[in-house]
Amino acid sequence: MGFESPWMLLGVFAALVPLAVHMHLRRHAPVVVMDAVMRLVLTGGRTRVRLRLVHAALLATRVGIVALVAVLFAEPFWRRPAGAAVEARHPVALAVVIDDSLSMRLSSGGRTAWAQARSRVSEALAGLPAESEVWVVLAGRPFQAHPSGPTLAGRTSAGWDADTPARFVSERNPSRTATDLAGAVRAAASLVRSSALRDRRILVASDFLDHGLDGFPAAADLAGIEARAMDVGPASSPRNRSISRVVAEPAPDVSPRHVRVRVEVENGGDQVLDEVVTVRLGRSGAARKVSCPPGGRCSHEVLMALEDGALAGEARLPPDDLPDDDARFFPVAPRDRDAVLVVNGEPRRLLELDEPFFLLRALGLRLEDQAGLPVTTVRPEELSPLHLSAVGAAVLANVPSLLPEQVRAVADFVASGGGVLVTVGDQVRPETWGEIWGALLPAPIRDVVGAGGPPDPGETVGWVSPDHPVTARLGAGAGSLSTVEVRRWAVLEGSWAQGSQVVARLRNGAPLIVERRIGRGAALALLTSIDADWTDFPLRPAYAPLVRQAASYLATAGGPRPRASIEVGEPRRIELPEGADHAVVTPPSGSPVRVTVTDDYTGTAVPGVYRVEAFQAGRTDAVRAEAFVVNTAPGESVLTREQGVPAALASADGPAAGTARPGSGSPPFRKLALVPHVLVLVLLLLLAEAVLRGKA
Amino acid sequence: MIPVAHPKEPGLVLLPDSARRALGNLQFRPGVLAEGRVSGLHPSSHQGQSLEFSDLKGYASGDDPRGVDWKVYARTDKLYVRRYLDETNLEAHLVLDASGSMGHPAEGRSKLEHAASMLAGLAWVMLRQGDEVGVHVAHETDPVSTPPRAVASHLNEVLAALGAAEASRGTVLDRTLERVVGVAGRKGVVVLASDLLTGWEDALSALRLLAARGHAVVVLHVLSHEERTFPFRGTVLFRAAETGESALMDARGLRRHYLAAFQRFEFEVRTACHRAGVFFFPVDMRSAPHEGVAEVMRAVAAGRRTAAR
Repeated sequence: MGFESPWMLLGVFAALVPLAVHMHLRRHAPVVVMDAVMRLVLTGGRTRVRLRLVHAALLATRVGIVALVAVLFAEPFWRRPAGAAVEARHPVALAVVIDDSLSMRLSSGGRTAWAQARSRVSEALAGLPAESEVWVVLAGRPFQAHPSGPTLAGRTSAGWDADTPARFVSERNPSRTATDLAGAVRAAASLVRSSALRDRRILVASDFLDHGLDGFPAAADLAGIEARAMDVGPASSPRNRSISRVVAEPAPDVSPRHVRVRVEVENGGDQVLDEVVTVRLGRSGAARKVSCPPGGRCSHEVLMALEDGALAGEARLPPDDLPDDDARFFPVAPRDRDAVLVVNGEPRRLLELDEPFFLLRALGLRLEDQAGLPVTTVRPEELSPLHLSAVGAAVLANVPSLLPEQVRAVADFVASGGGVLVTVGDQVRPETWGEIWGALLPAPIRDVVGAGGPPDPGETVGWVSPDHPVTARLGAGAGSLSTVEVRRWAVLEGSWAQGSQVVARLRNGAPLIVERRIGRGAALALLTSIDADWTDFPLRPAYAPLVRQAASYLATAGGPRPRASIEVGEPRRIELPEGADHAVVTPPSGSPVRVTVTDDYTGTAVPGVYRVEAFQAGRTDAVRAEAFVVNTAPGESVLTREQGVPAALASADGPAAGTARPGSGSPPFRKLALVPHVLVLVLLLLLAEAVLRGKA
Repeated sequence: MIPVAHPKEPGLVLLPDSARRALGNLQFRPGVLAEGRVSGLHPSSHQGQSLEFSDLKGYASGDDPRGVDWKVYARTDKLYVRRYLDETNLEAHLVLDASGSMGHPAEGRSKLEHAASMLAGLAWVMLRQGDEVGVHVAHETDPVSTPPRAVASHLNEVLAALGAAEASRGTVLDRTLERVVGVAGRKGVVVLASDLLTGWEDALSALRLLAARGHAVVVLHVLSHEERTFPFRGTVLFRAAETGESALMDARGLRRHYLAAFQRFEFEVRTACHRAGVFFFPVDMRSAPHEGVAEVMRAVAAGRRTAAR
């Protein structure tokens, strides 16, 4: 038992007033010496006993009234076990919101917050009256309501009977997802409002860490609903450390087969973190000692060699009380859709003579509403799938030849949604080049022709597609392609592949810019040089806009591409490449899942590396292998608790709503206001006083 | 001739001149067959020479022939002698309860004073008619007794004994009455003036014995007007004079219980007296003592005795 205003208990001393009045009257009341009263009434017999008892009771009643009035102003309350958080004597519509996010896996004293929440919710559900309607809403992103629709009171609805909620809760395990407590509470409010029962309640069992309280409903949003908080959060901010980010980037300055792995470690504790982080990539591994200040973040870089077939890696810290965020997985060279890979087929020492000289400046130019694009330049012999996987578009600038596996990697890159711009030049040999790049161009190159060397004027652009995204915004006049003179250009064979089109033609009708759709991507071909060797195009105002438009178009030609890194619980699109009839997704648990159509894969509940292999019918070797990684939400690792229980929730525990709880170590209690009870008691005593006064 | 007391003497307080004048023409005839020692106003249990016819007796040798009733002889042809009642005085024992409760009310005339005045009036009347009067005052300690005497000067002793009575803490009323039983050898009158608040059952046992022996027993139930009507209001501290007990009570709430208990008490006493052949006379203290005496004498003379009726 406790009191909201304990200092008002001083008023209990006022209960001495009736006693003082009694004593005063004994001293100063008129005295009548009359034996008859004592002999006949007050000495012996039931009347005497009764009268004495009545007077004693009257005095006690008056003392009690004064004392209880003082207690009433002290606002007493009773501490009751939190298991009675949803105590009700009549059927209620109850939605239990349970936070099953990653932070609920935090262990304290050998017991996780989830275990506490599950235990206490089960106790609360066990005390519900029959005919109650119960929903369970799991607040891990995305929140899930069970059952999703209204239940029928006391009757089975879609297999959801009276015992199901408690059983459902007892059988659940916490997820590793982020928290969507706000969304879950709003959904819970919507569910209980759909009930015909008048007594509507929401019980929110959570650790109420700050990261899950953004956009939490206000009290007005929960009007008409008795919303209570079941706080199972930590008593104090735990010293959690985690790996918040891991990025692997190519290291061409070292070698084409090396990557730099940058590991960011967040130290949420109040002491210096002095641990060893282990990075694994394929079969190779590296360990680095990291040191982070309290409450700080530190970054360490590890250079690692990329093995064949290595698609993803992991970085790991020794486990703490929340072990799931001590490991983070990373794809090798994650794709940056704005980045452009330029394969320089004719590198020169003199910068102005370098093949991509004009191209690089156009790509790096800051336009009105666009910053310069990040560009990576490699030589043809350096090109690897690692480079392609990191960019949205690639430019093959006057590349004479590539190894077959490089060509296959480029083809896969385009087929999976990437874009390639192929330009020709002096390095191009039609007899061999067409065979190599035939898979990317509408047709093989038949010949390279020209209008003659300077001072002879070249051929100008005669037609530009007004609908194609690359040329549609060029307009007319000086900014158009109409003034571009082309002195040499490549001529394609006459039979074009399906999905090919001409974007621009010369005045003589020869195609200048062509496109071929391949798989989910596209390949553009500029049938002249990208520098000023064959054309004055780089000197024209239309050059930079067209190049930027082309890069943007190619990066998005395949539409949104599946991400290589997602968070736990997010779906990941599995696309079957052309010619494949099924794919196999191998999650970290090792149980492969067969996918036969392009669809979203939702089994991403466990962090780790998910390997995706596509197969053709009847073949056992994969036509394509990729991987994506699933990580926990970084926000779940930030275990600060500054806001406490939202003000919209009344406390099902001891402390008042909106205040920090005393901690999970303290016994869970809730307040039961005793003011109405005391008031009734005072009224009863007043009534008793009146009755006793009549009998005295 | 009854002596006249000095104004400062207790006799004037208990028996003022107004009372003497009011009682001067009255006689107390309780109707009991007295066994007096001298001639008096009261019929004697023995045959005598009075004018009041008693019965006829067959003539026997030695009887006075003047007593033969010739009219009866003429009718019956047998000799009968007429006999007449003897008249004698009686012996009266006046018992005054001087317990603590008789001191109520503290202001004005107390029950003790009122009872003493009534007994003084009775004594004056009875001494004037030649009866023997003795007084017994029941104190906390041994009772104070004045033996019955018929001389006129005995009134001073009686008044002195009554006037000296003070309300004591307790009472020995039952022991006093037992003494009266012992000393009242001849049939006469026993008058008890008491509120009977203390041990009335024991007192009534002695009175029953006296009545059975042929005494005329009269109980003057002396209670104050406050005791009969309970006119108190507000919070009052009631205190018992005899035991010293006290209780702070709301008089308004107590009144109902008290009056019910009082009526029950008076009914029980009255009924017990009736069954014991004791004349019960409730005294109204609002009237003067001598008026009460006159009323008692008239009532007793009228034969309104409760016993044996």
